[in-house]
Amino acid sequence: MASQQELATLQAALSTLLGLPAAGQLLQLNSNTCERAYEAYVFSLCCDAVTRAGGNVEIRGIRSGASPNPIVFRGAPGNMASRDQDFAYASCLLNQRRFEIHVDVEYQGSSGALHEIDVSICDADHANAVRQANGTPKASGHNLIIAFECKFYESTPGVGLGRTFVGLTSDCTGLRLKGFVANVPSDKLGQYFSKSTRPEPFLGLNPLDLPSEERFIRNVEQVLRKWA
Amino acid sequence: MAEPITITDEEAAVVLKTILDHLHEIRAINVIDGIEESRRLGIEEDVSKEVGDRDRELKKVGTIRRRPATNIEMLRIVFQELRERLIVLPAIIDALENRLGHNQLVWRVDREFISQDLIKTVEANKADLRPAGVGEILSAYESVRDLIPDLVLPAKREVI
Repeated sequence: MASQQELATLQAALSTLLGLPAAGQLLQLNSNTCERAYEAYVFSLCCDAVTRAGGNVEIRGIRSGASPNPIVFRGAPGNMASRDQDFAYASCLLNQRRFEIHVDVEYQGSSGALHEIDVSICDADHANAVRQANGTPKASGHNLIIAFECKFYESTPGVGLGRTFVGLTSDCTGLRLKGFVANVPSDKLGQYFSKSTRPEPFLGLNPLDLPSEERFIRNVEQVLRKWA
Repeated sequence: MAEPITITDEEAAVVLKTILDHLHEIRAINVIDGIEESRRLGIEEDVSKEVGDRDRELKKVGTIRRRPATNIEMLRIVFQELRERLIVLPAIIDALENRLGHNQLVWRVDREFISQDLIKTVEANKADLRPAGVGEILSAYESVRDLIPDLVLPAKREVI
């Protein structure tokens, strides 16, 4: 049991932390914003994986082309072909194979339904065709190579979102890697994804856990090397 | 460095209330929602040992049971959630800069698909996610952790 003075010290330390203007700003952020930042982070790790595999990565804006400044990420899921903003994607080349990394774009599944995929790696010819036709990329054939569901949890993780992603990937064909990525570890989710047909879990992936980053990058790198 | 404190479940309830009052005061709505969601999910326990000696029919019963979190457990969960917002989120921006360069990073939406009133809730800039004063947060967080290390995860800010 703590003494009155010890409790007062703890309360004071807490008030200092929560009373900081920067803390207030971060705590008031919309969860959506945190989610989108996390997706951009996973996107950047995928870019790293391409470079590690010996490939080239060029960040492009759909309107401005190479090296956009600012780099515009989607604040909500949208169409790959949208030119409403200078949305960014990574144009990649590995062993003569061209592909692109996208954040938060919609794909058409084999059932015809549209699905939002947080971070996706798509064949470049298909992506170019999508932009030309102002259409929607298909998550079938060999168009969609890798799909990640990314979740920045701010509560105890449940299996709900994992279940949804399992359903989504069952509507996609030809995927080389399907992964569920989350900022916090979770035994429950780990167990849920332990069945061999389910997406690969990358739980506890965040910049403060370097081994988790390393494992993620290595996995993506290996899949891309094999594919290319 | 302050001596670590051991707090009881009752004392944890008081600390929890202090945090929640503050979050309500600044209208940290999504953080509060996250905490309440965690409270709703409770703690899952493996009770297989309890059913181990029972007869065949009872052994067919599921062995995971959910119970409400204690105040101490809730406090631990709350600190983890605060850590994600206050420590991990700014670190994500550092990591993005390290990998994508120091260009401006912004989040924007298709204007056709969203009402004007909601745009500010989904669009953001780098400074929204890593405001000035992140260093102060880190040191204040460590001060809290020094007092209750069993309940607060280390910040572990590592340079990439």
